[in-house]
Amino acid sequence: MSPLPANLHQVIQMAVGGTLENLAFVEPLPVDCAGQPAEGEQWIWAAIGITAPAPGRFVLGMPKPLAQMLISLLYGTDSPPGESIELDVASEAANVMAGRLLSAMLKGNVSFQLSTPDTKCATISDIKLNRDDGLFYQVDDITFGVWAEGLDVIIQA
Amino acid sequence: MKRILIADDSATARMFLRKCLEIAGLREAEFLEAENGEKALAILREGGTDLLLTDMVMPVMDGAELLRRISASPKLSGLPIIAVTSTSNPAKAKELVELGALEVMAKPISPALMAAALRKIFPEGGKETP
Repeated sequence: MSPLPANLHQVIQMAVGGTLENLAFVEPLPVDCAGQPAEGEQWIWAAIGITAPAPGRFVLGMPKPLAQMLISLLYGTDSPPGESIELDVASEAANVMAGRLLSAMLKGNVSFQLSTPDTKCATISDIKLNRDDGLFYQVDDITFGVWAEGLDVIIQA
Repeated sequence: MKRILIADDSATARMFLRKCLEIAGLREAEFLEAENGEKALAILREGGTDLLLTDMVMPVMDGAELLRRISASPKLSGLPIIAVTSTSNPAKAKELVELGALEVMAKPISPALMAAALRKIFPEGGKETP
């Protein structure tokens, strides 16, 4: 995966920040977190395929405590949510982030199409992502990341 | 009190849409939920629903088929519907309007956008069932 242009980092940050602010009233801050997630650490993952205007992929990965925090804020409950709802919250967040990102990139001039999110609890090796390609953020000292593929082609659409 | 049905296979999306509707002015509404179009249709057939918000991509019965079934039903065909999509495709939006959606909203949906849609659907204010 080629490195993202710097201006796309800002657009991604706005999509990520706007989504979590809208969904759960939290403000993620960008951090330099090379090496996250640790080898063997299980994260919650949601991957969205971009099928138009050009192929791409948007992946959101977060540790379980962040998924649980978002659920607690959204649902107003502190009871353990269970993995299915953790996957669900990641799926919806990734879906909205990808929508915000493409809307901002394409400025409404070109339509886009997203696939159904694919979610799992897994290590980064299972997801076949390179840590160095991720953009990382923190909410209350919990680090999470996003990976975007194909944006350099999509932005030219 | 308005009776609002939210159809989406994601529990998070249903909760988020409900919060959006509440912030947009429907704090006193009764909210019903369905995880697919088939369950939504069963609830609608019970009667008394004032508004349907439906996702398009759902298992068992998707949003487009749900809209077709509603349009084909004399009892349900006048129901106000907001179609919620993950795409920004004008042709798809036009198709959904032709299928009976009053509004087509692309995610992300903000309370402000929702409030604007509700003002069109419930110009009387949305608090009392006509």
